[in-house]
Amino acid sequence: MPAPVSADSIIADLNRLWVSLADPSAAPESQAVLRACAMTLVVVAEESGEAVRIAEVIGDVMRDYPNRAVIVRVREGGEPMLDCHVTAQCWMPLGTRQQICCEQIEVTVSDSNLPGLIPILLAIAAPDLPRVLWCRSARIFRLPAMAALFQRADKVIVDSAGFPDARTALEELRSQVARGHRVMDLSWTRITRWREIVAEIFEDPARLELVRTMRRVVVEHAGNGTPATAYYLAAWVMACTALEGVEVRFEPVPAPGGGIEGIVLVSDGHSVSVRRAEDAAALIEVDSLKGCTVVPRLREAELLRSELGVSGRDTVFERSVPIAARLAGR
Amino acid sequence: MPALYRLACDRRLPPGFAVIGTSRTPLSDEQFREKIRGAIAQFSGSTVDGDMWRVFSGTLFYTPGDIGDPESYRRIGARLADVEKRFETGGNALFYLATQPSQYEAAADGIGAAGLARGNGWRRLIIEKPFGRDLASARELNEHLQRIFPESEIYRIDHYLGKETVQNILAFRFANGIFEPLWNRRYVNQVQITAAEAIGVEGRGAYYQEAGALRDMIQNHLLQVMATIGMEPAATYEAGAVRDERAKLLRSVRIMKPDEVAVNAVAGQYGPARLGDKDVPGFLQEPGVRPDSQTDTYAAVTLFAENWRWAGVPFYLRTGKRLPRHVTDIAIHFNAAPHAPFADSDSGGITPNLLIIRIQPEEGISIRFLSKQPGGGMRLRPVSMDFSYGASFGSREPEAYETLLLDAMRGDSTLYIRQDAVEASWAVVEPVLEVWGNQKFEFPNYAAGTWGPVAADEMLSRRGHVWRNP
Repeated sequence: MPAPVSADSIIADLNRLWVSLADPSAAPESQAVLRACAMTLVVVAEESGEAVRIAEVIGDVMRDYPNRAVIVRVREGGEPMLDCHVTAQCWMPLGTRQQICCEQIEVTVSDSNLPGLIPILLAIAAPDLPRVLWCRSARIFRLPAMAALFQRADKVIVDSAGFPDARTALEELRSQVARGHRVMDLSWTRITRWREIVAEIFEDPARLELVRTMRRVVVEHAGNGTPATAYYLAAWVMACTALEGVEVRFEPVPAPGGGIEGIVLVSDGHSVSVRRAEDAAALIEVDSLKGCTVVPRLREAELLRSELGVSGRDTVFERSVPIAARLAGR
Repeated sequence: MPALYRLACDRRLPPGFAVIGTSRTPLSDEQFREKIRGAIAQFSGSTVDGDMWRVFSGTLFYTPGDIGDPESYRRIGARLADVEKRFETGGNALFYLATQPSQYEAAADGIGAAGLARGNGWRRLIIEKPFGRDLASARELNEHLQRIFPESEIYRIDHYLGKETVQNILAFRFANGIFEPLWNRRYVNQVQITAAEAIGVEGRGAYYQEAGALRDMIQNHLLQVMATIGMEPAATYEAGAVRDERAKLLRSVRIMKPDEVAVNAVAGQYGPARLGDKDVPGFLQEPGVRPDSQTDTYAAVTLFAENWRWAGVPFYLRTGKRLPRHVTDIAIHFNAAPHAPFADSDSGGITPNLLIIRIQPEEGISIRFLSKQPGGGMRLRPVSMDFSYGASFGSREPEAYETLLLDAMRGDSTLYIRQDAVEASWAVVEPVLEVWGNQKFEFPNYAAGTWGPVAADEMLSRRGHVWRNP
């Protein structure tokens, strides 16, 4: 019968792991490994599927943000169970002979045992370093047991694109932000480049007149349902300009995927538009001036890496979420 | 006994070594040896080596007896004389009282009355905490024992002092030039000492409810750790000099007035919870515990050492059962940088430097500081620089009891507690015990698996501090 899973047993396993990795007799030709940890990254996902994808994403971000990764796979229904094992993820940077290793703790838990797992997750977080929770499931995000994790995490990352609909997702995120939780949405990260492009247009003070007289914001998106990214982009414009009475429209356009395809800002006598031209490029039109810029479609690992690079509160996001939720709820 | 066996395996036991066990259970030498072999197999964490066991078991003897029976001591005396001849012990004898503390005085009386406290060689007495239940009973015990053994031959064990990492505090502080200049009120903002246990009372409810966390841990272990952290450098690493400095630190701790206890001490008792895949009982549901027990399974105190070095620096000590994990560490929180030029940067909040001394289970030392994150902008992120005993030193770390027993045989009492330090420790906790003894608590006040009651957080927040969770 396996020993019960506890914080002490996991820490002891990690300890043994490092002692064994540091043992020169195990691989006398190699130099000692370097233990790297800049944060604790807890990934909570459904047990079904995704295992390979999560491992790839974690392996990808680990080189820039070495972390104690805790991957929790939650089994919906079924017999109560809790299982855990620890491993090390190692790599050898180009041109060196020293391996860099990060800890990885994999936990499988049934829904019913999730509340009992939360104190263990809190106890095994690497002390004195940021604690980031990446919740990959809308169902798990809503479980009451998760509240204690949200409260103690320095950052909670979700992806509203995985929620059944944008309206519910934004309302739930608004509610979490209102409670003071440091929630972040990868859909918000997806619009970072769009925000940069729009902001750069208005670096020229002469164009600020357009902002002051803006009457309409149109966000164009692919797919039938309006995605959260579209609401975020419009909400961000509204939060930045703080204008009253601006008309906000969301217009579907024929395009693959379900992301943003363009944004148009209309004022008295002026117009600004940024529209995706090809897969990774956008056409900018400011009145009669035209230009082109890059708008890459980011992979999940790139989105996560970008989010992990922001360690403080994202006050712009927190100001934009309630507006986005309101726009989605109209 | 597992500690002695490991010492034998490492060939560190002195020549002329033998053990005479005694208890009320009638056993032959052979039966005693089998019992010890079982204990070693169970607790030493390694298999019992056949050849080594044959040698070691030949040094084990047994004499049944009762603590209150003078005839028992006469038999022990006869066995001692026999062992002295066979093993050439030179008449040296160490009496280790592995009994209930309430029987220390009777056992010492028996040894004294039988003339065993004096002999051809040295005669020493080892006792384990608790050394009394309060200041008065500690003094009474000391006076009683000193009528039979001189203070220099009384060895009071606090096994925390025998831990390698606690000893390493002295090496860390006094063998390195870079830390000691920072080790004072000018640079240190606060010190947190945590001794957390994940387990409950594990069937010892009846015993534990007579002790409590303050008596069981803070009065001895944690105050000794605090003394080691806060003491002045001793001129030499000799028993007298080191113990003088520890005792001086303990005597400098401000004694709380009764009206200060409420804001500087917090008692807690755990309630039931679900941890992992099992339900754990609250303290009141533990076997042998009274349903209205007011015993503290958690205690936290704020102490101040009133001396030139530490004036105004709070020392927060906390201990508890059923906390999230088994860990003992010391966190030295340094003052924040006097000016933060990066205040507007994306730093996630400027956090002061931390020095962590981990005593168990991952013995080591960490330093936390802020570092610029690679890439554009001035983005700061806390990073941790770690030293791990396990990964750095391949050799097996001796258990605390191995170190302590060997020291006692050598006559080195550096890591043992002297009478004045015991009394100074009781003087520190006694006002808290008195106030708590007259108070009715609303227990339980923390759930198993959490870091203790909310009141403990409030105790720190009054000074703008928060507990660091190890």
